[in-house]
Amino acid sequence: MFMLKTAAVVLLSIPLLLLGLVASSGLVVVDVKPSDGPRIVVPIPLFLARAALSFAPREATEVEVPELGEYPEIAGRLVAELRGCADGILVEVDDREDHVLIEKIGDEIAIEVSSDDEEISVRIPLAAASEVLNSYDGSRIRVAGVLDALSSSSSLSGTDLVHVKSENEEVKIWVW
Amino acid sequence: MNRTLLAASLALTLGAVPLQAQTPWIHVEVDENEADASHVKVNLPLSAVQIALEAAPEKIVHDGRIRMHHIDEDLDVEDLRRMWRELRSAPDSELVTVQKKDETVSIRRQGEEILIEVDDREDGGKVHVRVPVAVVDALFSGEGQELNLKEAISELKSLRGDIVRVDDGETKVRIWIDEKD
Repeated sequence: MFMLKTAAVVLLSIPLLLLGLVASSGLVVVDVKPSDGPRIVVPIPLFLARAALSFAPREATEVEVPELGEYPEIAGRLVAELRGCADGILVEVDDREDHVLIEKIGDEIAIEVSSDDEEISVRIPLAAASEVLNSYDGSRIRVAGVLDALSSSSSLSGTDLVHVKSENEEVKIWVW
Repeated sequence: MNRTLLAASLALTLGAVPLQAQTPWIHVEVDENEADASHVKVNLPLSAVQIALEAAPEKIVHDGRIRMHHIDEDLDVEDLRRMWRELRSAPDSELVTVQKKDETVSIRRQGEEILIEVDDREDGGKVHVRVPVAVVDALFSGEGQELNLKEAISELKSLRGDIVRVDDGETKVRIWIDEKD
């Protein structure tokens, strides 16, 4: 009887432990809804992604961003400046076909682009952007740095990071 | 003791509000007049513009100074600087007036500001530019063919209100500075 109880406690504690790990490190959910196919929802626990990175080949753990070159320091200061400024619309372009809106809302930059056949919405948490910039080594951004930024940014919970809606499909990426 | 602490925190909080409220923002608005036209609005803290300026290509902007000969070979900044030195000390008056059959250009000094006005009677276009003397001074504080944009933006921080207004009949452009908060 005692053995059974112990086994039950151990079995129960595993999902609870996993749930705790997911809750503490976060979860990225990718949701793809094609117009003519099955909906695909992929939840990726950040702790698993981080663990997988340690087995991944070096080229998969870093993203080449040579364009950033010598600018991460300037970009970092720009992000800090934006974090300190008041909320409001930074850029708004309205032409015959497209509408672009870049807005500062709290500690995020929200970018919305809408045209006749597509709607794109991206939210950039400034705290996370700052962390990602810190992980830049002159030519590459560490994926681990991006994961750290995603899991440490408290403002992200439940927010759509990316939302693309077109005639053919709808893609959402959000963090929990 | 607690009251003193409370009063000190209150004073700090209240003191911080006007400081934050004084952050100058530059606003640019471009509106086309025709139906189905484009509208562009840009609102940025001037301090962010100053930082963004550092990201401009070194070939064109170096240390906040714009190298004009890379943009316009015919523009001689040295000549403009010399001309400015002559005009700078002039009292409030009309500095330059060009009157053509269908266009009037006027540059005049009014107090600590330079006002540039263009009236194009043929196309109905109007240009109105207001630049403080200190901003022009800062702009020409570069050397040779360089204009010191960084210093000019610093000087703009103390300016409020419209700087540029253009209405050429088809497009309206307005650039102004205020405290967004």
